[in-house]
Amino acid sequence: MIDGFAIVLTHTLLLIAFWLLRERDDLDDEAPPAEHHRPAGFGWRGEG
Amino acid sequence: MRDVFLLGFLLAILFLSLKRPFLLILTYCYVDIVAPQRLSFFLLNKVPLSLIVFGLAVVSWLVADSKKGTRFDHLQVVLLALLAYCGISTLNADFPVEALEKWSWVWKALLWSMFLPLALRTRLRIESLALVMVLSAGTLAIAGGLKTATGGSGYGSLQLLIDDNSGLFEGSIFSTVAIAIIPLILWLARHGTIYRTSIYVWGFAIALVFACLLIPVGTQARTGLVCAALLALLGLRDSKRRMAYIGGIAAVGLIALPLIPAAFSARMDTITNYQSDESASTRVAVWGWTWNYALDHPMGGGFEVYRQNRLQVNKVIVRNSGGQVTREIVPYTDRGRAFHNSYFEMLGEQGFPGLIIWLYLQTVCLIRMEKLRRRYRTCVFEDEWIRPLATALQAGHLVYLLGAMFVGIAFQPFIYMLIALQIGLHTYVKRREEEARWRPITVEVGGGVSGPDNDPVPALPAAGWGK
Repeated sequence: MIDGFAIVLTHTLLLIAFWLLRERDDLDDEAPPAEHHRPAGFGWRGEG
Repeated sequence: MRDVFLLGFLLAILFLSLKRPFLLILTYCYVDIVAPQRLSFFLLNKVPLSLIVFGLAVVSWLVADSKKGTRFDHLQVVLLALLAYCGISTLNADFPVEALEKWSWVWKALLWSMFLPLALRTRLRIESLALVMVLSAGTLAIAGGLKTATGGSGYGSLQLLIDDNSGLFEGSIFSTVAIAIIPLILWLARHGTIYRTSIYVWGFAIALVFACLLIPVGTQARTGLVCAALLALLGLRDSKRRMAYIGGIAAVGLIALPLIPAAFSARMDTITNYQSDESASTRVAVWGWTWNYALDHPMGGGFEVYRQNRLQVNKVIVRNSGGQVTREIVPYTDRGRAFHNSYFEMLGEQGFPGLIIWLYLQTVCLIRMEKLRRRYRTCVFEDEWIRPLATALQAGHLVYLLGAMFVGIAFQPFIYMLIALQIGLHTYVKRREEEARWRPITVEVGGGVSGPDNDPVPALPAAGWGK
């Protein structure tokens, strides 16, 4: 009974997670890093 | 019924993986942790499920998954060196048949941990691996926690889904793992994007943490209690209100104390009175034996080398009769005693070279997470998940390294996934910073997306990678 509950609960959450991941494009491709990641350099003000 | 459910679940996630090959990698992680083929009575236990999914995951990654952003890390070479060394030691093992049996799963764990970071090239992939690891281990934790809460536990008698005391299903091993994943559970509840933070997510996370904390109680594994104490201590590092934190921990302890079974308290007493405990006495003896063995065989004796030990142990029995305490020393012989310590496991089985490689791997992981913690102490909103994740992974790793003092889990596959996650996080962050550094100037100027005068938050992590 307890084992069944644990299995059903976590596996349902896993299944939903897989479904949600399937619909997420950022799983495979991300937007480029934001500008503020960029360290100081040519034409850049620096860390301020 | 369980068989049909598990089969249906596997078919469903394999179907979902058709669109995203990475999901097959997560499927293998699930199979490796939960081992549905072992939970099954007649369907899945007939097929080499682990090997099939392993093959599917690797082939689909090679054929169908993009390699954009994939980076190789020197720790993967270290893992390869460890794999090669273990392979050689298996060929020359003192117990060739038994060594081969352990090798049959060790190579997979090491190879998988080398492979995983190659696929962890987006934030969502890192998060999804953490989620799958937590929910998979959560299956065992919820079952064990509920059984403990309802009184169906005891040393060596708490059944975690199956009546099998091997791998992750062994009480002391799972106690360590259950405590090690607590920081990851809390990170997912706070920073997760698959299940976004909400009252329901926090409710589940707190219940799962509670279930994990009940595992050492249920299994009566002293290792788990020590690990929980370390985790509580580590929580102090980032606590903004330390006194409230200490007060909270003390309050939880006081509330929990009357609820803890007497058998658990009696067993925990043997932590300080270890000489009267047979298990603890022989451990000290086997560690001494291993050290001497390693001096004679510095290259190690291969897997399962402990089988040849013969130990003369003195057990101290303390008797209290009428207020008069007497100590009686009872000598006895023990044979083929397991290491009960991952450091000595490595030393005995893989010798000094194997131990050095293994320690190097652990140390570099810890240092890297510490660097990330410091580097992202102040950062922009979109990077706010990095430091807490590094903290969670480091705390989990430290818990593992402490638990490893009392259990032979040097090759536990779950821990190698945790290491892979750390390698993945490190290479991901490093790559993202490099990408930002090397963005073509034409894009910046032509695209009009940037400019020194309109940068809203130029909060860059302070220290460099080599610093």
